[in-house]
Amino acid sequence: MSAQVAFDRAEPICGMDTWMPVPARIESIIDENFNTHTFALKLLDDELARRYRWAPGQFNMLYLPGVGEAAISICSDPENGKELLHTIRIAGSVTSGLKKLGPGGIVGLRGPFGRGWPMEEVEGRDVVLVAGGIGLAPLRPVVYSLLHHRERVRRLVLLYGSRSPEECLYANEIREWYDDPRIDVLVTVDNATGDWAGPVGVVTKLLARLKLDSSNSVVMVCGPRILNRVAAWQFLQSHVPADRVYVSLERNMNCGFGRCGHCQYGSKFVCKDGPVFPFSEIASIFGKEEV
Amino acid sequence: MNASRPGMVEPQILPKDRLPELIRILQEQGYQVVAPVEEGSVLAMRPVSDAGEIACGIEDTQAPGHYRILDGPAPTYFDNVVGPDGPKRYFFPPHLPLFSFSVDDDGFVLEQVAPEPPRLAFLGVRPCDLSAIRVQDRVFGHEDNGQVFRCESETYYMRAREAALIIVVNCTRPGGSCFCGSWGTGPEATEGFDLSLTELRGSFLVRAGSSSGVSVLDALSTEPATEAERELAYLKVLRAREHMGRVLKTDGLGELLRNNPEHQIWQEIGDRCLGCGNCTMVCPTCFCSTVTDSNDLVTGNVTRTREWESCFTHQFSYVTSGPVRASISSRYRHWLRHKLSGWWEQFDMSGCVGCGRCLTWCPVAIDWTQDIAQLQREVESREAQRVSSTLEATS
Amino acid sequence: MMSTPSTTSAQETNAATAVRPKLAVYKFSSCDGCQLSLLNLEDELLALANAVEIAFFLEARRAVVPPPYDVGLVEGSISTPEEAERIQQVRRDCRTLITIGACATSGGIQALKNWGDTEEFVRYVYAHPEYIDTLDTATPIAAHVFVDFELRGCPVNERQLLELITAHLAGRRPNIPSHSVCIECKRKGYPCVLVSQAEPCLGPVTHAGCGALCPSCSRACYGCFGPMEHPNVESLGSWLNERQARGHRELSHMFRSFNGYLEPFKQASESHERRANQV
Repeated sequence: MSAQVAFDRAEPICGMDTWMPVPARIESIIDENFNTHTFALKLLDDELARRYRWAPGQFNMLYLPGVGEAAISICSDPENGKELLHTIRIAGSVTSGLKKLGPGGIVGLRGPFGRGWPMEEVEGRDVVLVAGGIGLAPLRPVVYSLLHHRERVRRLVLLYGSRSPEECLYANEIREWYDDPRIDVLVTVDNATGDWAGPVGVVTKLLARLKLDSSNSVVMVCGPRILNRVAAWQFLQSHVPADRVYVSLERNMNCGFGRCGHCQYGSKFVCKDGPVFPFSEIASIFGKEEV
Repeated sequence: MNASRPGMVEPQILPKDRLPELIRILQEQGYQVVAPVEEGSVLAMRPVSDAGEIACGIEDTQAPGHYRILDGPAPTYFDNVVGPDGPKRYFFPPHLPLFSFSVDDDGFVLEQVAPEPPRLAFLGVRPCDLSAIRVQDRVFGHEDNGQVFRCESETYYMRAREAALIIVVNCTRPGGSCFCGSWGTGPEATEGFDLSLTELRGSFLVRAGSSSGVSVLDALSTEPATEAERELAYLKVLRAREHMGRVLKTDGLGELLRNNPEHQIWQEIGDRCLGCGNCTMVCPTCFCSTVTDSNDLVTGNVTRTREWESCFTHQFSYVTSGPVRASISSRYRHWLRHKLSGWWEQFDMSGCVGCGRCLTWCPVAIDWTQDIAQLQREVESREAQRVSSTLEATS
Repeated sequence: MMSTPSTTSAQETNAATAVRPKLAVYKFSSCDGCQLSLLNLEDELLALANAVEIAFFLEARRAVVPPPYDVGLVEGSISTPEEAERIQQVRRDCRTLITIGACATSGGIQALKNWGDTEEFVRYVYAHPEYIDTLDTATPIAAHVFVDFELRGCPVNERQLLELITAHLAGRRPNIPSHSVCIECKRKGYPCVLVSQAEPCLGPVTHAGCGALCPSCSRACYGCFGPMEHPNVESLGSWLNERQARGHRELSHMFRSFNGYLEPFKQASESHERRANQV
């Protein structure tokens, strides 16, 4: 374990019991694309809301009362204490129920859980963020944070792959970042629809365009399993040290704090030891099927 | 449990006909006694109200996929080993409603909370199960001394544990699936109990392991054991140690499993494994669970319930794209690698205590100790070959 | 986009204020036992009738509310030409179609005829075979129309039936696990009849849901809930054959009962039958 690396982690808040979520109200829902929406939540208890802290890469268990929970990463600006955003893709009964509930609805929240991105490690280095699809959500707080303190890092690059221009998350923001000289943004799509004139193909193709200072870069990857694999391996091949390639993994968290066993990955609990892992910690199992 | 002066107390002798008195004292101290009883075709840890209910004169035979109880020749209590059910279900209940609540505009209104665990005295916990309790203590944060997140502690578990009194019984007749000797978790318990019993012919040799144990002993007013009785107890445990049902070479096991995730034994086990989850259900250290919601049709109240879960089910690792471990072989591999390898990294201890339940209660008698032995032999011979060929090359 | 708390209505689970979903219960070739499970929910029946409108349920209510229905529960297999036609209309009438019981999900005990000669059966059994209008096979509903959820069991477990309806009303996935009976059996702490009594128990390959009813009475599970998720029927069959000396004929019969026509029990029964015939 790389003990000296300070991962960002904030203590979870919770109600009276391990499994008791705290109530929150859906303030608003922004449509990102046809099945992905960003939910702004507000904790009903002002005192809790004031105390609530989280770090980029951490997630909450969002609870639809009487239905169940889903692990959703927090995607707002970590320095804007007023906003608590979660981008959710509608996939099962919890997520579709949250959407149906609509603004004003009461949901539950437990968290924040997990180990986030290594926000200390980036100091003075090039930072490359690689996201696919909804994987951009947990990386958005990193972008916000580094844009706030741009002097902390050298280059800041975001590579983002989306199925189509219409499915691209946070389109307005990405456009802003495009024009922002402080960050290099490259977006690619699988299907070029409409007047798309940018790159077409998988996001890992974009890696070749990077002139990477491998020995002095920190890489953060979050996307579908196949993207995580290919991206991580490509960065390792281009000699980024294994302990500076970070991947955020997806598993079916049930408890969120390493008790229920569902999200076990080798000897790791993804909910507690992850979801962000440096490649070096999971090298022996990464990419192995059915571990 | 706080061990104040148990070490000061000499081993005592409790004649068997005073067992009812022990039960009565425990009851007077506010405990409900849980002890092995004959339940249908098995021995199980169940609440008893008097000593007559405790299984007596029963022997068991165990082997992978095989369990029988039969009347033994002598009126002994503990000439048998663990049945399918240990103390686990009393600390970590298979089905536990956590709380019920209703929803209104201001949030959640708590209607009902989890039941308060009863105060239980376990009579006849085996050393392997005692070790398993210590494993789960660590898993559920009992020993973490407030070092964990507040909401991570399993309150029911902790309360049940703190309320419990444990009387361990040292094994004098090991079973066919037992291999506690290989882990050092048995056949004798050396710590972590309130009282320990070793069954002699007409009596029990009793040791106190905590102040609660001492207070029970004080109430019993027993005689100290003689030199001969202590010697006999020692020899009986020694004999058990020498007649262990099986042996597991535990050296380097974690590394062996870590390094061989793609070995053919997993496929071979997977072909036989039914994926039924019996091994995980009887395992005294398995801690997987699922919390689900249910709704009351009349009140609209929501109840969240925690149930034992098994890593052998399809749903267990299910993510949107499907189950992470789709094949049965990968589930067995996950389970066994966790027990023997991953557990060390997570909890700095073995996840297996050698009770042998997963072997006995496997419907198709999968004996992983044999598969692991085969893997060990193969790796050893491969290593020997490598060494000899290196020697040849250099000479 | 902010809304005031007073407008929150989505979470009001009180069914009385909302429009109640319409429930229909249909019968095809079956014994009525599964429909009866619904009526056996004595303690909850009133609450249920309050939560849903029982719009079509001939066994319980003469009045019929015309379709469409929100939820249709279908009992029974498709065994006659008339049923094969009627199920198409039922599917069109119900937004959510749920099959209840072994007949509807696997063809049921009457699917045993699928291995025989229907004409011969009819000739031997009926005095006037010309009155009999039947298909050569009894098949599950899912062989004819799309089914949203299949509830197992012969008959279904009434608690599961209630859970299914309650979950549907709450908008969540029903908590109806597809793992083995063993997991339920062990949670309840019943002695394993296979390991401790050498009973030929099908629990390790059978879908949970009954609450391990037979093992609770020291009886072997005979698979009335059908195959569980990914059952390893081959391994259990070989074990019972080699170690319990159960013949292939017996094993073939064990797998070919209420759910015999449902894969992989079907495959297992046929495989053991072949081996029995080879001897």
